[in-house]
Order: sequence, then structure tokens, then C-alpha cells
Amino acid sequence: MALAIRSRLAPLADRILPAAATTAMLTALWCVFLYVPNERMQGAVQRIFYFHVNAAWSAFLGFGIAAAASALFLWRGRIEHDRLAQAAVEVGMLFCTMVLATGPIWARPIWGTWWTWDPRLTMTVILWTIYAVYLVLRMVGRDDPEIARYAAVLAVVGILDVPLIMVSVRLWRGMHPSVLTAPEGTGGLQDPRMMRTLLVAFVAFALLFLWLLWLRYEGLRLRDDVRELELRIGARHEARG
Amino acid sequence: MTPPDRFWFLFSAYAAIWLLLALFLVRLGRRHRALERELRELESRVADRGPGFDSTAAPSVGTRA
Repeated sequence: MALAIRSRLAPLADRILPAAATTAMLTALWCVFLYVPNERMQGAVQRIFYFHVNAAWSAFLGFGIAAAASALFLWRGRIEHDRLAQAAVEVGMLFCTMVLATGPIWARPIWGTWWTWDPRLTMTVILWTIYAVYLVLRMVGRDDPEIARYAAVLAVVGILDVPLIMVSVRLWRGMHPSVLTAPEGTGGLQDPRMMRTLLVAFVAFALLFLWLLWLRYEGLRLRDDVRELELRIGARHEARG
Repeated sequence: MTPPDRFWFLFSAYAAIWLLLALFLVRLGRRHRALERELRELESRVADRGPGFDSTAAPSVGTRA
């Protein structure tokens, strides 16, 4: 059943996803640099926001998928779920690193400092660290099923940090702007073109995320197939003496 | 801060995004090529042993990663 779904999905993912992600990303770049107007107070540097926010959402999506797949792996013990979790963490880490790289670049001209231990920023660093530990565990543990289960528990627990990041601005009154939930007239996206650009970038990042997740999942599947083949050749060799 | 300075920050942020994405894709490509090499070696070892070894579960070298 799963194999049949995969074989139908593979040509679609191999051909359509890269083309769709590239087209959407080029459109998003056009919107960010040529279509959307400058923000009144921040000027051109506000254009970082469209990719910064979408990178954050993609990271949350990656870690969310990893947590769900890890929970399924702990429950059913199926290798496909573990593989999906690992692929989602790797892709989620890429986007989380983008968030942590672009945030300070925006903060320097706006806040006058590269970094501050604001609650949202601190929680994001904690999130990055949790999933970095997950990847280190997977690298060190290799095929050890015990380590795979520990890592799965970490992925499930780690996702609890995401809702904290979401509410941290309001809960602890941090410096980080909450553009999308700002009350009317107090900032946020004043021009409709800003919201359109954000939506185009959202689609572009969603497609890029799916493509990278697919590539990494298939890579891990191929690695498992190679290992299985090695074991079978080894067993055959021993049987022949 | 003057506008040209701010453009430099905008440029740096987008450069960082594309650099990270490029590094990720390069690493993915290297891993894929290493696996393909390993798979070719295994397939040639299977072929050397002659008939009787069932390698139907093994993926072909062209499999995506």
C-alpha cells in the first residue's frame, strides 16, 4: 500500500516540486524587491521580514512533522516514521538557522544591536539547540534502536517550545514585533501589497520545504536500502563459508 | 542609519538565506553521490557472485535521493 502510494508520488515529486518551488521563489523575490513598497519607519530593511517570517513557519512545520512522526514511531515502531522524523528535523533546522541568521541582520539597524536576550529570541535559540541535539544523537547513534527512541522522545518534547515562541511576545512583553497580530493602527502590514507578498512568499517556502523534505526522505530511504543490501551480501558470504 | 547602510543589511540577509540553502543542497548532493557509489560497488559484488543471489529488493543506482 505504502509502496504503491510512493511509486505514484515519486514522479510527481521529482518533476513538479522543483519546478513549482523555483517558480514560486522567483515570484516571491520579484514581490519582495520590486512589487512591495518600503515600510514607512524601517525602510528597505523591513523587506527581510517576508523571508524571515516564512522561514520561521517552515521551521515550525518541520519540527511539527518530526514530533508527529516520532510519536508514531514510538507507538508503532515503523522505520518509515523514524526516517520522516529525521528528514523533517534536518529540513526544519535549515529554516531555523535562516531565522537565527536573518533576525540579527534586521535587528542591527532597527534595535541598534545584533542580539538581545528577548524571550522570543531566547526560546528560538532553545528550539534550535533541542533539535541540534536530536541530530547529534542520530549521528552518534547511527543504527542503534535505543538511541533512535531517545531521539524520538526529544523530538516530541521539543515541539512544546513552539507554542511558547508564539505567545512569548504577549506573555513576557518582549521587544520582538508581532506584526501579524498587531491591533489596527498600531503597526503591522499597512499596505495590502505587503500581505500579498507575505502570502506569495508563504507558498514559495511551503513548496521549497516539501521539495527538500522529499529529497532528504528519499536519501535516507536509499541509505537504508544500501545497508540492508550490505547485510544480505554479508550473510550470504558467511553461509558460503 | 542612512539608507545605503540599510540596503547592505537587506542584501546580507538574503545572501545568508541563499548561502544556507546552497550549503544544504551541496551536502545533500554529496551524500547522494556517496550512496550511489556504495550501491554500484555492492551491485558489482552481487554480479561477481553469479546467479543465486536475490537482489530484487535492492534499489537501482538511478533511484532518487
